[in-house]
Amino acid sequence: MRDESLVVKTEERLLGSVARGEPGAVKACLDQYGSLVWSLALRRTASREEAEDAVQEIFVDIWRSAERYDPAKSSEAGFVALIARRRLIDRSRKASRRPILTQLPDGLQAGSDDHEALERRVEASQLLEMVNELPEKQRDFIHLAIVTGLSHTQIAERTDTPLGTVKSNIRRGLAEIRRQVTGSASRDQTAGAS
Amino acid sequence: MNDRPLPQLEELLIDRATGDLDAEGEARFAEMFATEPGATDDTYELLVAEMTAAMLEQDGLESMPESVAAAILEGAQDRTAPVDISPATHRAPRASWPTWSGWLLAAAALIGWLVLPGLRTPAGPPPEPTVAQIRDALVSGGSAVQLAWTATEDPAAAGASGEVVWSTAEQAGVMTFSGLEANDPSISQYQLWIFDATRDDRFPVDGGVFDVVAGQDVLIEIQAKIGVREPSLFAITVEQPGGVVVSDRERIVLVAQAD
Repeated sequence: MRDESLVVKTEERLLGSVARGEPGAVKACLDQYGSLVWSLALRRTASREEAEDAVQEIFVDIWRSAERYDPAKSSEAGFVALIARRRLIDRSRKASRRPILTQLPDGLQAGSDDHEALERRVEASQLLEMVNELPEKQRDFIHLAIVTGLSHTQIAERTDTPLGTVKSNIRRGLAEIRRQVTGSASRDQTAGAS
Repeated sequence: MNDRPLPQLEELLIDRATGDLDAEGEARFAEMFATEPGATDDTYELLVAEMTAAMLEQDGLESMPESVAAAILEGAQDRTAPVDISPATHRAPRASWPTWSGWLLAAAALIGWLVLPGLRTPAGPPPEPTVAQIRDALVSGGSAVQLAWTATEDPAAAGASGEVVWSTAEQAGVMTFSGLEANDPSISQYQLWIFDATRDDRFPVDGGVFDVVAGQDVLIEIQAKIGVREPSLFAITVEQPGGVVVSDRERIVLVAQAD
């Protein structure tokens, strides 16, 4: 029996409409994802003024990248968050004058010889369940890194935890979630084939 | 759960996905990027992006200001077919300028129009309101709470008083202080923290840093870093110049408790 909860939603077609230049698509996309991008920018910039500049850059990127969206690999919200995060990380690196030795690639390269691919996306509610099942420290540190937008060093300071412990908890937590997600994807593919 | 060490490449991919590769990590990743096929794997980056969207939504999203949305739509006009958008709107001078500033400016413009007919010529943008005007507008707007500061035993707060005016609807506020000890900005600054009942108490919202000049009552506009939903406590601490990400709460000088 097919696990319907893992099936990619078909109603998410805003980015495709944007890519085709359909009337109203840009506004609909902004209505749908504006709050997500704005919330992320507020957490990852030093001021609201900087957040304003950042979200305008991010949406220019989104309009340009919309045609590359692949619903088999991510949700639309995930794709939008991916672009937003890349832009915000770039801005942060430039602000700190750190050299960017490896440019983030334009497309998604998921799936190599050494790493299983996220070939099917998992529902947001399932991801949240997976996060909630992590040990408390892993869950808290991942939340601080991803939602609050703190660097690992800032998390170490804020929680009075050695930096190495912060890093290892975040790494283990994300590795565990990846393991579960790719496991879910495999199960779904197996179920779908049966 | 597996406790074996993760491969170095996997650690680097995770650090990169969370935006936290240090300079050494960047250098190591750059080496691997050229030689290791797995270094191009974006699975972790995509996973973090999906988690970001899900967790932010769970925590509650902040609405994008209309002025910002209008500016984005205006910029998008060039690249798409006719789009159903509002008339072009100029971007507000400051994103933190709350919506009530609209009627304040409209009222000021109307007064200027009525009282000063000689000035009925195209002019530049109206001046931004002063902090005192912002405070007055918040108070008269009806959505703001007014909370009196309570001094702690910290010597900087001896004889200090004042209040905080905060509107959750407008996401704006102003603090007033009288008698708070002047600070030397090269040594320390005051910093506001807003405790939000909907968030973890360990992580109050940073409300901005400010200075107090000797012998003057001061008004400070609150610069909340992120949205505040249910403010439960406002606290002023003394911190290093520029403020801190996390306060050790060693010197709390004033607090204002919401009901």
